[in-house]
Amino acid sequence: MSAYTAKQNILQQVDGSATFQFSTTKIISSITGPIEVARPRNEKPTEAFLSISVRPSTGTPTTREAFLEVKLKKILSCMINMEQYPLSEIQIVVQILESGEREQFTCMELACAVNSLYLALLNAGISLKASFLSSFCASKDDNIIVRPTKEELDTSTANHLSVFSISDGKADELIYSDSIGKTTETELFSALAAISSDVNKINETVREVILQSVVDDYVWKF
Amino acid sequence: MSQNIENVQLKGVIFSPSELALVAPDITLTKYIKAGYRPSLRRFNEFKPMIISTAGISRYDISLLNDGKKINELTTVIGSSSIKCGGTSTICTISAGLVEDNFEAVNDYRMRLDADIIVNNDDKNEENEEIDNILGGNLINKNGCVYPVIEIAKGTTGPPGDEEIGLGEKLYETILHSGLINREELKVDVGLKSIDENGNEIILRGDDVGVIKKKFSFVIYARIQVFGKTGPLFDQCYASLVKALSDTKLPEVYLNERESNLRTKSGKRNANINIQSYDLVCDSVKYRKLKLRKDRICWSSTFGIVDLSSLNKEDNEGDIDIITETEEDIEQSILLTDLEGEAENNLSKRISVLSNGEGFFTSITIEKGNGSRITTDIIKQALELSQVRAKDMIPKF
Repeated sequence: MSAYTAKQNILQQVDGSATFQFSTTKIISSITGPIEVARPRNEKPTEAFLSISVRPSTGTPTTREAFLEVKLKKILSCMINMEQYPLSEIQIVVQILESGEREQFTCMELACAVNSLYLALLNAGISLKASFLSSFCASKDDNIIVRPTKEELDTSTANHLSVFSISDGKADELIYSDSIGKTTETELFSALAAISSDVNKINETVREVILQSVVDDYVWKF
Repeated sequence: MSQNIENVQLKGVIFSPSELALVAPDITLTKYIKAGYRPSLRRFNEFKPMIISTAGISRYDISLLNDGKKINELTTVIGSSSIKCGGTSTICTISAGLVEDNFEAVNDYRMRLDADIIVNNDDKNEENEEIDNILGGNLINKNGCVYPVIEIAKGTTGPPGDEEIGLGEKLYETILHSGLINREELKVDVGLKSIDENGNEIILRGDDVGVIKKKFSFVIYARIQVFGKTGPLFDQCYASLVKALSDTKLPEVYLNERESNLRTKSGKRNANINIQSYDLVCDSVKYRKLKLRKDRICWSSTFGIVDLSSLNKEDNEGDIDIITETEEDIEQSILLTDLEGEAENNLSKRISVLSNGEGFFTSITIEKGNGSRITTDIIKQALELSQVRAKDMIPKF
């Protein structure tokens, strides 16, 4: 299992920003918003418009990044209180600093992006329906490896990624789940169980990170 | 006075069913589902019939009408399929390209650095392993892939939208990770076309062909066109791609003899340059069929989930019944198969399953969207239904 680190409030020119790192995968993301809609045709009368862009660690964005944007939009649009920001836009930029996996896989980057976006959204003060965190695992010969390394991912038969909402410090509801590769029903459910317990662990660190940044932001010292 | 109050009472606006479906598709859907069926008049778990066939427009297809003669000599398409499901038609065409396996860039230092395999150069045995590693690790090196492009006919032109890119990328990802195509199957056995002493054409292979040191593979491209979209398209796109792949015939490839000996030496002191130029030719008649791994052929089913506060609650012509309000807590989730129409298409709570009908799945996507919590029961129900559907449909490929 790989280690993870997180930090909030990195960038000064945006409303919220955060980094998240799973040993070899590192992502920085920024939130600007709610702001006026940049293109009038994107304006939605009843809810916010999410403009998500994913930038790869090398080269220009391809269809792979476009697909990541589609997935992120599905996850975020049901976690943000979209009705609270009608006629406005929330700009979300995800910059992959270190990919840490082969281009044929996306689970490490997606999990890392979801976690960094959660921290960045909190930092920007965007209203959320619930806290949420994500993790991933790979399966090989009936074994579940939570947060596998690049090599373990290469030799696995299937990989699973899930996003869970968090309530009372525990993983609660399944928000999104994506399994690719040859798998079975029992494997899916044990993967979901493994990921939800891993999300509990990540949550402990993430809470400390949030607490620390609140303490740092508190300017009125006694 | 009492008459006055009666006059002030607000009258409900009455829409005809077709108007309501336009103004508030979600309300229409709820009304239909409370009545026990769907706007398309199908039952909740009733699938749409799908007609799967080869399109017969590929190069090596034989015309049955024209005495078994080949008819499509001008096309570069090597596999095709056509699928009809309700009002939606999907046409998939497969074409291929050739790529050099151990191309120069693979041995480039930067590529090695990226792939994290800088090893001692003296270790010649590891060379093959290195190349495998760069091409994408153990699993990926065993699985071949397809590069699909989706076009949804909307009456407008322009670059592919989010939906089209998403569908294409998802197809690429599922085919690659499911291992439907064996990578070995895509490798090209390059022959050398020559003329023997009697003047007959012969094709030399293997050890007889000394000059060819390079290895080649086929790269498969797919173009999927969709007409008349009524719901989520992944199921149909996947089905048409698998059908077209199972129909794909890869051409025999050989080298033009004249070109094979082309070697230039520029004799400036130590600067010796060997240029090997290849002219690869695909046979216009001979082909081999692309074999798919039978156990990895799956059927894709996308389910939408509708939340109903309570099925027993009756709409009594606008009467507000306070007692039924408390029953709203009893939430019921209903699984809908093969979504169709605007209201069902708007459902963001979805489960998409690719099942082989024998207990294996190659892709499972669960999206909670805007709705109540996704339960284990509903996931199990979706997996089970997809198995039943897969068992029924896979023999039709």
